[in-house]
Amino acid sequence: MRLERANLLQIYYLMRLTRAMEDRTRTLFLQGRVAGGVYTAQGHEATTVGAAWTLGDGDFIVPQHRDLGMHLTRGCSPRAVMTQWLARGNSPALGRDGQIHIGDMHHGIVPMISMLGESLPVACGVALTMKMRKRSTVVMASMGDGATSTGPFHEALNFASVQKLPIVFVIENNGYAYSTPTYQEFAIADLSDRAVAYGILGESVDGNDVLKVVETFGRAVEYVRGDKGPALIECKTFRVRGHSEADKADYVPPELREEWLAKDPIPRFEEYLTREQILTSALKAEIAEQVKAVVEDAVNFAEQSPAPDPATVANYVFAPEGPIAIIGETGAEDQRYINALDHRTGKPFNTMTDTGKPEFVVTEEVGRR
Amino acid sequence: MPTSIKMPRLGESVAEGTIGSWLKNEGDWVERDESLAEIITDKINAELPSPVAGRLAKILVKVDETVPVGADIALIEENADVSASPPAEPVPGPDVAPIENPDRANVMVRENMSVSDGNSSKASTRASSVHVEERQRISPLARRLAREHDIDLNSIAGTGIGGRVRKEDILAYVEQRQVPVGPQFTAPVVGMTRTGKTIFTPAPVGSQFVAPPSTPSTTFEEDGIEVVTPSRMRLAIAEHMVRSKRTSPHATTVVEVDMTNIAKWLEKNKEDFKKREGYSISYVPFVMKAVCEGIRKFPYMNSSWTEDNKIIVKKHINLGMAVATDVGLVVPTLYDTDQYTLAGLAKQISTIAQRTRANKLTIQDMQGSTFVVNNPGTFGTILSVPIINQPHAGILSMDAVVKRPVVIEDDAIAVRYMMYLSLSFDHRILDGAGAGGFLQTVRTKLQSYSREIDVY
Amino acid sequence: MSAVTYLEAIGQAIREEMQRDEAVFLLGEDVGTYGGAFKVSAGLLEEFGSERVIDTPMAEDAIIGSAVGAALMGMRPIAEMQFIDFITCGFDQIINMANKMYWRTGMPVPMVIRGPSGGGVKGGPFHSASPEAWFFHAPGIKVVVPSTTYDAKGLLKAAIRDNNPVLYLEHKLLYRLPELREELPTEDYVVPIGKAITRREGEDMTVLTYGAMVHQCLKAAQTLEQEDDLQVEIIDLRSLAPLDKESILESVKHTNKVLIVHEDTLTGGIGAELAAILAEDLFEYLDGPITRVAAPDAPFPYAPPLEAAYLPSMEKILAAARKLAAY
Repeated sequence: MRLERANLLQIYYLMRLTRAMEDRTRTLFLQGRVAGGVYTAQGHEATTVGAAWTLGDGDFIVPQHRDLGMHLTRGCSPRAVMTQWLARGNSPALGRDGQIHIGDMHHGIVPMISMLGESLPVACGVALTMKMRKRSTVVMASMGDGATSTGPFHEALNFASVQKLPIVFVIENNGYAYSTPTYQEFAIADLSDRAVAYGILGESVDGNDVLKVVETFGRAVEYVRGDKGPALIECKTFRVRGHSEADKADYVPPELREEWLAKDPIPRFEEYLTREQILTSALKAEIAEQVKAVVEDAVNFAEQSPAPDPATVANYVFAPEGPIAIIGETGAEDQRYINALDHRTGKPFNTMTDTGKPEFVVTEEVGRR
Repeated sequence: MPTSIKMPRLGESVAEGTIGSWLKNEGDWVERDESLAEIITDKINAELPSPVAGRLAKILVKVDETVPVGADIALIEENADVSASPPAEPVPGPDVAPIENPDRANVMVRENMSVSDGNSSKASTRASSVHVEERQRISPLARRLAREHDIDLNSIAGTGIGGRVRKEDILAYVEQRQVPVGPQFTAPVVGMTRTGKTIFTPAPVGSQFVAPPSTPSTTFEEDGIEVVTPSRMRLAIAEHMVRSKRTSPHATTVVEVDMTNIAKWLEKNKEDFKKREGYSISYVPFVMKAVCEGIRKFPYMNSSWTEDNKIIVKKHINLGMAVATDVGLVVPTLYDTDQYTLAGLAKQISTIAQRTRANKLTIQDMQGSTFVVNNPGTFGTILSVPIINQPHAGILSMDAVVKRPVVIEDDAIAVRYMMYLSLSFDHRILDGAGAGGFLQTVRTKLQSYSREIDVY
Repeated sequence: MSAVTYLEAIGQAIREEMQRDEAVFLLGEDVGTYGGAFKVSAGLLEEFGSERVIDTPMAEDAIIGSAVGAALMGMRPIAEMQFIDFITCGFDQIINMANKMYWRTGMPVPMVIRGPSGGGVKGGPFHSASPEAWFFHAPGIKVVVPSTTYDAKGLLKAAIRDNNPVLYLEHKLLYRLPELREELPTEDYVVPIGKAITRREGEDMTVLTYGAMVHQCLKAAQTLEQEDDLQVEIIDLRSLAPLDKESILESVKHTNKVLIVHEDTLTGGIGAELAAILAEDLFEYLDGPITRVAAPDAPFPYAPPLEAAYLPSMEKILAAARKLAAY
């Protein structure tokens, strides 16, 4: 996958934005402003941004809880993310759910649940549908190393393989399933070896090297789009913080953490960009400024947003009659076109998620597409 | 005894099977587990292995015939004349497996419990406290009904399990309080407006109305006489008749009505109407309609004289209507009678009559009437003098419609369908002029119909 | 048009909905080439092809999960459980994925999960389940249970057209019962979800029931009329979630006594909730205790005498009704 200068800057911006959003969320959590637990993914940015970067409009991610980078890359608004963390009444989940459990089909984001691994069969259904609709859609379904131990992992990979579904399965192997180290989770060196059992493409890649991630996923996406069946890509990375911000993760040997902190994907990429004279110190400052502004805007927006109305607590359990959202309907020109409103709010699905500015805009044209 | 071979259940949802072919002929020897026939079902086709060895004595189901699962399809004679064949044993059915009888198990558990509960002082304490705290058993519905109708529950003996007071008991009690007005009919005395305002509270019903059985009983017979304890309802009727005669100074006045046009219309249309609507139409809706018109013109006919000498005139016209039942006559209420068309009234009458005969009247049905129309004419009577249903101001009897020679216009004599309407009224409230005027209005209305009547 | 079985009515509903709407498709184990373990989907593969009649691996989580994914995209999948007992293998996809989806994301999940339920066919502990109470308790899914051939078709069509997950529990005992054969209307019809139906009118007590037990109760009602002069009203709930509270309350207000009969186990069953509703809303209309006849709190047994003792029998229903009537 060929990356122009503007693409590289955009990837860098998104990685920085992801990190900054999570740093800010942690601060809000420590301040007691986040309603529930906080799960971050420091160290995953090259994987999440790099993998999602290789998708196009009309493609889907089926993310998990450490995939903020994927969300932002897909175009999900930082404002939406912050309203979720702060449990606001106008959040995409209307306060019913938090974290980055943001269903946003307009941006090709399939809502996740906390039962990790259970999203993988759902990804099969999305891919199956697009196959029926003769779209060349690719679905990228991610999971941690932990989820590879679940039944749904096997069921989904097997079903996808049998049906030759256009899915790129992403394993973000970050060393731990909560406190359980990989050697207690599985007895193989590379999780991509699992692909052999399903007769599908399997590959492992350094998940902290964004250029390698983009390159690998670029190939994988092209492969599955070519109707060759699914692919399984393992990104080797590391969760340098705890499972949640309430976990100090003292079960992780300090030297192991140090080792991976030294491989932090952001400085690594910065080094490359500087070396290639793509990133000047002025540009770096400008990007830092914009990241700060976007995060500030998101937090302010969320803090000024209303709390959900307790009187609505029993609402929205059942969808009313009427047209349902059809995404990427055969014949629709815009692959992301959704032909119905969110019945809960009476507004389009992207009303909330399209606010804010996930993209870095400088005088030079910088854009993902 | 030959063993019968049954159509097997080949699949959990399969309900029937077809004989594809018989692999043995009648008279053939068949070994146990040897294929007897080919069975075809919705799900699978299979060969049926014989459950026993013997001679195929009889084929009961022909090829291509379909029978339900479990049906006999053939008989095999096991005691066939082959000594080598194994001794016959009954084919074990699925229901004879040696399992414990669950009932017996339950009994044993209970016995164990009673043994372990052998602390006698504790047990007796419990027993006595139960005795002291014994309360009347009553269903929630009966409790509510009793409260709504101001009924002392202690005065009611329940007929449910353990003497529990239930809906029927309360309804019977209320019905019995609604003392009948004449031998042919009874009517409610719990006079309440529809809004629930009590206009008349009946005198407390004595305990003698509680104790007697609901059906009459003969206590002894001698010397050609028979002493009968009347039913509760009979006693209530008796009490109410006496009280009504004692309370209201009755006066009775009669008019004769020419019902010819209505009678002809009914003769012509009755059957069609019933076919079309599913219920019958009779003279009664016509009379009720006319009574409503009369009451509108003479509102005091729809009133009550109170104990403190006031007259309460009721705005709603709720006619009581006598319906015969096995246990006597009851008078359920048609609320807002004046609001219905003739067909509407016919429907109401039919519905309520059915409910009455099915003994399914509600308390609502038994209260709130303001005036009664009684129809002894169905028994062929031509002139009746009714007793007022307290606390009403009047009661109207309609007698039989009969053909009579009548002097009509120009002094001609014609055969007409005639009916007497007899009104008994409370002379405290009304005089002859009012009563007569009321009857005139009723008659005029009834005679105003032409041969073509729009009942809608 | 000739009379069809309950099973054929289900097949008809699927076929007609697939013809009517391209978004409708069927997936499950052995539904294609084999036509389903009970032959519900016989002939569908030939008519619609393998893209819309999908033989899946033996993987209930993947079947239901894929259905959720497709539904999110605006499809209307029908996920078949070969026996409804196996729905437990996909429980999470229903409870956590499908049920909560619209509520938290605004994305409807129009899908049907259906399969043979119920006992009486010697299916034993793993092929006789009546799983309705688990789902009845879980917000976000509708649960329907047809008892007649007409309803089997009409309710399935309504379920397919509904914008929510619908669990459609077909009773395998009824699949091929000759007495349930019925001539169905040639024109399109649905039986609306959420509406009970009075199968028999009566004054003396209301029986609330559903599924195969409707027929058991109708037989019992006949006996009660002939032998006890009791008029029993029978309400076939048809839809357990949402419940037609209005019809239930209206009937019990009228009869003042209520007997609840279901094949599922007693504790925490549908009857428990019905009893609670009646006690809360109609306490002062009750002229006797709310009575339940249900399976005992034990797993479904295999041996015929045990199965017979387990299921609500005519004798149990009659005894309970008589006791209630005399109360």
